[in-house]
Formats: sequence, structure tokens, C-alpha cells
Amino acid sequence: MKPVVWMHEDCLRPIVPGAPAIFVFESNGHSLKRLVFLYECLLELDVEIEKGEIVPLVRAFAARHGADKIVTAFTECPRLMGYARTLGAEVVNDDPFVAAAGPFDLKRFSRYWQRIERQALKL
Amino acid sequence: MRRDFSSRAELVDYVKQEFPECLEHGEQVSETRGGRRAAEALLEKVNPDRYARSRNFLSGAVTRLAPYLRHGVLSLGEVRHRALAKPNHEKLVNEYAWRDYWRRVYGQIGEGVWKDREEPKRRWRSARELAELPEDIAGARTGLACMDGFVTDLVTTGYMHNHARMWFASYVIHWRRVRWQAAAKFFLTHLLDGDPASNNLSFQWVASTFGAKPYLFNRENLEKYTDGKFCRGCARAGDCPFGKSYEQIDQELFQ
Ligand SMILES: Cc1cc2nc3c(=O)[nH]c(=O)nc-3n(C[C@H](O)[C@H](O)[C@H](O)COP(=O)(O)OP(=O)(O)OC[C@H]3O[C@@H](n4cnc5c(N)ncnc54)[C@H](O)[C@@H]3O)c2cc1C
Repeated sequence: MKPVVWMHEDCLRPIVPGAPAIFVFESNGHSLKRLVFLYECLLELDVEIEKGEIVPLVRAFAARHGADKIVTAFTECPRLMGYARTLGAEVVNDDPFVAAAGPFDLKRFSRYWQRIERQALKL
Repeated sequence: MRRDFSSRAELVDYVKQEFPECLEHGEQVSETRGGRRAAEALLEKVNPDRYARSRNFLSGAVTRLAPYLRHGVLSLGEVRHRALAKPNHEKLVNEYAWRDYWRRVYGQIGEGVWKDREEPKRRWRSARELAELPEDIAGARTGLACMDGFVTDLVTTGYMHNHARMWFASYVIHWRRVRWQAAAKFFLTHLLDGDPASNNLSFQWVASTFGAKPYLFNRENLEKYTDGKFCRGCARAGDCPFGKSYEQIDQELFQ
């Protein structure tokens, strides 16, 4: 298996050690201060930085590396997960807050906290 | 894109040149540095015990981890583990859980975070609701030293303390009757941690479209948790709209 990683702005940390990674800036209305912050995060990572449309750029990157798999990190953002689906990417959730399995009652925070408290406070 | 910069100034110039459209939101660059190194340095300093005792004060021992969590430089699982290794961590872990909670709700409703989750629990006295954030608020020209100070800080640093976010949201929504979505958009543009889940759902909590009652505050509360730094010398101290009891404020604002 030869994976490449599509890194997106909801998970700026390595998820597959050693695999080539790409990040694509979309034009999505960020302020200068946020763009500088994101750019500084990227400069500390071994990642190719691109600007433009995510899907074609990630596909071309994968082809250039002869990859047979694209891996990306899970996020709740529907837009980013939509791209992941289009790319046929494997989605990993590498470090959840707690491992508790759902479904959860999310009507109010207090109910959610009651359900996860023991796990959250356990090493 | 380039990776070789000899200084931060050079990086900033490059970003301006490559993303000229971002300048419509201003030319400010935050002191907060991106990257794992900066995040680690903050994580080292986290003191859950002091956090629990002082987090509501603007000068309190808050972590400033939000931009790194928002962008997954740090994971919530990782910061939770680090907190558990230190004494008196319950409050901090509970606050991290808020982030996880909003994130899960976002997972269920997606773009629905932009719509009222529930009916507002109270009706305002006047039905007028503004669709846009008024210029005096966005331009830090209300004359209220607190609100103008919060906006100036937000725009220059990309950060606002949680309590200030609550006061500001309450002022904009309940006193000024601006649709929460307009203020939420303003926050998303300027916060380094701007995040549709935590941001929009917190606005809805203040508005009472995702919570049992509207969030209100008064001057006494704000003065206490800011150590009076805004009220001293505020041009509007004499006609402060918050300088009342909660009962008076409630009667003034709601039917
Ligand atoms: C109107 C409003 C808008 C907000 N918008 C955002 C946003 O866009 N992005 C964002 O990350 N947070 C948002 N919050 C939540 C909270 O204010 C910030 O997470 C916090 O102030 C960030 O500063 P800190 O890292 O110093 O927080 P600390 O007080 O040190 O808390 C530690 C961490 O716990 C989490 N946390 C703490 N309180 C909350 C909370 N109430 N909700 C969710 N997570 C919490 C954050 O990840 C934070 O980094 C908003 C709150 C309000 C009232």
C-alpha cells in the first residue's frame, strides 16, 4: 500500500507517519491573520502547500506519488467530508475526545456530559 | 507554494500577495504563532487548578489553546490526557467536553448550525431585528468601552476571552436586536479559532435558540470579572445600558 495524505484545515497534524502529504488553500474568506496562522502551522509540517481546487490538486498529487490510496482525517465539516467522498479517501479518526460509542442524546450538554463524564475523567 | 521564508514579515507579505482578497477583512496579523511548537509551549503552561478558580476573569489562567484545537494541531484526546495528569482537572476537562459536544451536534445537523435550533424562549419588546451587524459595533464606535475594547482586541489579535464572547453576543443579540447569524459571521471572520460548531451553537445558546433562556449580564457582573478596567473612564459610564438589576434588564428587553 502506498498512501498519500490529504491534510485539511480541521486536522493540521500528521496522521500517517512518513506518507507524503498535501494541503490546499481554498478561497474561503479567511482573514489575513487566520491565513498567516494556518501557514505557520503548515511550515512546521512535512507537507506540500497548494492553492486552488482541492479535488483535482489532491488527485494529481496522488498520481505524482504513484499512490494507491488517499487518507484524510475525520471532521464533522460536511464540505470537507464531501471532498473526501469524491476523492474516495479513507477517513481516519485518530484521536477522539473519548472512545464512548453513540448514539448520544445531544439535546443538552448536561445529558451528554452525564453520559461521558466517567470516561472523560479516566486516564 | 513557497516554504522558505527568512522572517515572519516575509511570510506575511507573501500571504498578502497570494490571497489579496483576505485584505478586505483588514491587515492585522496576530501575535499568536501557528504551529505545534507554539501549541506545546502553551500546553506545558496549562494549570487546571488555577484555570478552575479564575477562568471567568479576563485576567484568569485560560489556556488559549482554542486555535490549535480548532485546526487539529492538537487533538482533544491529547489535551484531555495532558490535563488528567495534573491536579484538579475536572473543570478544564468539562470545558474541553463543550467543544466535543458542539462538534457532535454539528455532525448531526451540518449547515443547520446557521438556523435556529429551537424557538427563542422569550420575545423582545420590539420586534425589530437587524439582519446586519451595525457599523458602530463592527467599527468599535459604540462608546461603550467594554464592547469597543472587545471588538478592537478581536480584530487585532483574533482572540476574545470566553466571558467577553458571552457579554458581546448578549449585547448584540438582546440589547441591539441583531440576528445572531450576523454577529456569528463577524466572529468567524476574525477569530483564529473561528469554528461553525462552537461559534454558531454558542451564539444560539446566548440567543436561547439552543438553551433554556437568553443569556443576560449586567454591569456589576462585567465590572467584577474585568476588574473594572473598562468601566473606569468609560464615556458612557453615566448612561450604561447594563448598569441595572437583572429584573430591570429583563423587563426592559423582553415582553
Ligand atoms: C459567542 C461565542 C462564540 C464562540 N466561538 C467559538 C469559536 O468560534 N471557536 C471556538 O473554539 N470556541 C468558541 N467559543 C467557545 C469559547 O469561548 C472558546 O473556545 C474559548 O474562549 C477559547 O479560549 P481558550 O482556548 O483560552 O479557552 P479556555 O477557557 O482555556 O478553554 C480551553 C478549551 O476548552 C474549549 N472550550 C472552553 N469553553 C468552551 C465553550 N464554551 N465552547 C466550546 N469549547 C470550549 C476550547 O477548545 C478551549 O480552547 C465561543 C463562545 C461564545 C460564547
